[in-house]
Amino acid sequence: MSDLELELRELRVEWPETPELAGAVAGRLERAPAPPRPGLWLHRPAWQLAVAVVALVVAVVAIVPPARSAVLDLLGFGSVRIVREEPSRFGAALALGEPVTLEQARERFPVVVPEELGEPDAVYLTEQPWLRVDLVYREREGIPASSNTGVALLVTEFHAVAEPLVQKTVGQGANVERLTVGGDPAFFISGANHGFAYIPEGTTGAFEESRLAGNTLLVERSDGVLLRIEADIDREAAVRIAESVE
Amino acid sequence: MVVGRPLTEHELVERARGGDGAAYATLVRDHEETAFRIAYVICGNAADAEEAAQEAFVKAYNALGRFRLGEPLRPWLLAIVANEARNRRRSAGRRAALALRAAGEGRPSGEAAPSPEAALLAGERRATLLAGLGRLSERDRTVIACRYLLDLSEAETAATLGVRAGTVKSRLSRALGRLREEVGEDV
Repeated sequence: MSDLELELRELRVEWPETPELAGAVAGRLERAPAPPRPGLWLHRPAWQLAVAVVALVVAVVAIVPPARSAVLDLLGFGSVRIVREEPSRFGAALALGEPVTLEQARERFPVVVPEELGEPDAVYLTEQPWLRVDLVYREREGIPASSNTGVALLVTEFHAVAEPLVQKTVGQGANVERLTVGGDPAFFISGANHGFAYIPEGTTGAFEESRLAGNTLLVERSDGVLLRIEADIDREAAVRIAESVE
Repeated sequence: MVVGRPLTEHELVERARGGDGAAYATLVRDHEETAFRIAYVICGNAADAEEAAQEAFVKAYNALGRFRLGEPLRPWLLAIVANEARNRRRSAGRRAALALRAAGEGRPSGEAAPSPEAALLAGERRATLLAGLGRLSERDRTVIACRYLLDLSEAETAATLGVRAGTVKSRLSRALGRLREEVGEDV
């Protein structure tokens, strides 16, 4: 252990006084029911029956449209919009992988989403040739859509580093600026249409063409994830987006 | 039921799952200090940290059904706290530096009392370190605080931050490098 680590370990911090959380939490829970137990309903025939009835009603409603509104009203669903959780296929032309929901992507990869952009309009996941996640965004103020694909902004995340290769491989007419984003090394590639090379975890290197013909910000995050933001935006806007990732 | 010994964490969790509020309050009391301090490091102020920790404990209660009995409770709780604190920090939109003050002497027991000059120097050094730590990004200062100020193990830190143990190692080493830069030391 280094001296600095020893010093940190010996530091005694004067923390703010810990509030009495147990009492406050107990007060809030007094009115709340017992926490739900997973799987409990499976042991209850009444629940199974209810589920079966709902399934039957849904089937009937699906087959007989005139019955729909009456049945939904009867069940108290009259004003409820039922949204199917199917992943969006927006930006499929980019051939980024399999469309998934953000939750599905997060089961496989520690996906980060820039606050500045909010929820992506589509999410793609691929394992070929290695695990990566792409967040796709539509046109928004200040970020025009690419005329080919209709996609305005692409955020790609995978475990890799860019630094050893970035300068050599960007190509003629493109500029590379070294930056720091949230303390992590970053590169802003602008100018001519370009690709870039990078080193995925456990391999020797790979090269990729740009997708939207926009500028690209690469951030080598300290957790090993290479964050790539590609759009027709300037350096400041790209950095602002990258900094809104935590 | 009369129990002649304190309940184990396992028993407390089982009772809390059954709706026993007192059992859950005991669990909260056992972990509230570390929870609040992690939230403080992330949020940067005590008011947000208190709200985040309180909200996290309520959410954890409602999620107890998903907790796997037999696993340690603390990292599971702290992960919910850290998540809640980050959400709060984001929605508050504040990016204030974290203010931490040193308390007491902090010297290892068994050493002779330092001279006044040495004490002054050591005090300055502690203040410099904590100020440097406060200026780091949330991610850097949280990983350092978990490991050194709050004494969480590497595995607990990983669970709290929702990353792999290897990521804790690399994140920690980068964060220490940046702290060295902040306090003006050669890396």
